[in-house]
Amino acid sequence: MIYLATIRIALRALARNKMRSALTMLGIIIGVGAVIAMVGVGQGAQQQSQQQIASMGSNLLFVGAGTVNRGGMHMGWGATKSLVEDDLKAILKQCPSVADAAPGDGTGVQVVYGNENWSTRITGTSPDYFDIRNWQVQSGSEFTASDVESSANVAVIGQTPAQNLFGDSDPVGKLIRIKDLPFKVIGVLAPKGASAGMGQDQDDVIFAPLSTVQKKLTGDTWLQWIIVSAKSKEASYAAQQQITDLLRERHRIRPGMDDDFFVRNMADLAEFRDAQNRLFTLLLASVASISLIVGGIGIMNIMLVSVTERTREIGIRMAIGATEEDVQRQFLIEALVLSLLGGGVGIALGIISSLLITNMAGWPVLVSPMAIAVAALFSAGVGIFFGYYPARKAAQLDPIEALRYE
Amino acid sequence: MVTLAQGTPATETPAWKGPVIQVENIHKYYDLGETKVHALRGVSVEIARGEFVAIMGASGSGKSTFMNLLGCLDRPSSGRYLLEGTDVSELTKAELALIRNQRIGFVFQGFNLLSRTTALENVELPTLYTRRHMEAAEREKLARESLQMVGLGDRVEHFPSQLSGGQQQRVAVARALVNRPSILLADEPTGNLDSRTAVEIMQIFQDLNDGGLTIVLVTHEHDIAQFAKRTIIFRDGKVRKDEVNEEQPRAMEVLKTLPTLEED
Repeated sequence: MIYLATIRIALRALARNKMRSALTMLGIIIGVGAVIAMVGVGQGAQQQSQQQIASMGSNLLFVGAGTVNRGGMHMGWGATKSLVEDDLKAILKQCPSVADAAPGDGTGVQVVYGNENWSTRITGTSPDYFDIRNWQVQSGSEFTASDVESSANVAVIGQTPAQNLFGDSDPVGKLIRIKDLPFKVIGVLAPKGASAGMGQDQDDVIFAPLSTVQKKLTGDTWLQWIIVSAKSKEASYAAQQQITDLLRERHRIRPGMDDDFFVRNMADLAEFRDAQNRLFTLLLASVASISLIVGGIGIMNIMLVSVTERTREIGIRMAIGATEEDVQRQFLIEALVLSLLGGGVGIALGIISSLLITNMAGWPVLVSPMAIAVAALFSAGVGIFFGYYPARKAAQLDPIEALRYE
Repeated sequence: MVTLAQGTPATETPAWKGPVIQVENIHKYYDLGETKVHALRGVSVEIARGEFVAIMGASGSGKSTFMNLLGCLDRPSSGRYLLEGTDVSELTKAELALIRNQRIGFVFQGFNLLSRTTALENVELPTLYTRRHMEAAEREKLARESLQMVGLGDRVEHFPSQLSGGQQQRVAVARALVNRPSILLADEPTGNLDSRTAVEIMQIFQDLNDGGLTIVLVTHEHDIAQFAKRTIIFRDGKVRKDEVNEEQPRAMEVLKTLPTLEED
């Protein structure tokens, strides 16, 4: 029997019970739609994370004071007082793979402007920081080395405090109060968005000269962290080794003792975030796949009902010359048509809901052709897998019994 | 032995000149768990081309089992069944399906048409299983010819539910004829019909038989069996009586004596 005729027969059989066919398809529609949307969310997050890490610079290293949480990515800097500015100078002088470095020391503060106030974190650093992070000011300017020298009360603020304190007006030149000290806003940073993976708002920051923050706000004489740029992405591993060796020596840590600092490589971070996102995607996809399987069970259920209802038809077809293969093919194609139609609508639904997620939740959703192809194949697979048993059952009917069936 | 002088409209010129059906000492057991039913106890029958045989017998006599075997829906437990010289007891299920498709036409008591499928499509159904490619136009042509043979040239686009019982059975006969089979097997074809419509169906059978088609008919009504050329009576799984009907009434003549439905 030719396939085209079989497909026509299948379509007509499905059209006979429109409501039932539609409800059966709904299972597959939801399953396929969910898989596409969920994989899209996962891949979107992965892509965003990769872009953010790339925009931060994949040649960056963080040197933090304190010990690394074993196995974790926790950046609990500032836990020890052993990291100092001399370490920074030594890194710049003695590590050949290091291009640039900037210090960091900060504290959480309440910032006041007029009637508005905003709780954020102020970080003291050097002007090199903005170069290393490749972070431009949107308006105004960065502070200079002489501001650091003179411990000037100047601040460069991020987008979030700028909007919360100043609304639409230009913050540059205005005076803000931090811990009762007046700071002159000299620049507003360009937006960075949420950080990769962790979702922290990178724009919720205020920068000031290191000396100002240390002397007037924290009272620290040590650093919480140092940010280092290696000469290239490839050199970052060498730089990591050089910094580790140097700091162990400078901090007089004997062999076998734990470091009192940690060096975190952005390449490692990128890899870790990638793995995290893959896991996230896999998790979402497997949850969505369950609904696809449930949809498949729905198909199997309806096909079994259909085989029973049409026992007599099967008997007639067998009596006039249909072989077991013919009958099996007829029901298999019916299940396949059901699942593929559902898959088609499900793909459309998945794309639409991805767009909705992007628009409404603001998440980047990446619908890849690969995910669509896999979903289409998967729904065909579901049709064949769950259609096989009912089709086999139909094919194995005894024509004499089937003809007698009422 | 009946030899046909002229070609038949219902069958292609057959290569096999021997008996269409040769059944030799067939037994059939059904194993129903605890009990074992011996449905056929050594049946031997030979049916030549162009015969019109009525098979009669009480229920449980084995006539239905015999029809299922003739129709290649079932295989004998022992004995031989040769259909046009081919021993079908040896064939696989798929080969039997092809035999049913090509050489046997079935007509059932309950018509067994597919509902929500037009008369024409019902008749086309066997052409879907011929194992060779057939254009849709060719299939439709064969189906329309078959419908002409049973006098249903019009109403081909109607659904079974829109047709009378007699018309439905004509569609079923047309379906049985569409692949130009060697034999037509009818299992109580008039069982669900009123007496006048039953005779009308018998008229079609007689006409087809006149054209050379071999017909085997199961019935329990003598009024129907009398139209056949030969009657075989089954009892307790054996052939009890096998006789030639010397004189058969013509269904067309009988119809004239019956009141028409309009006069009822």
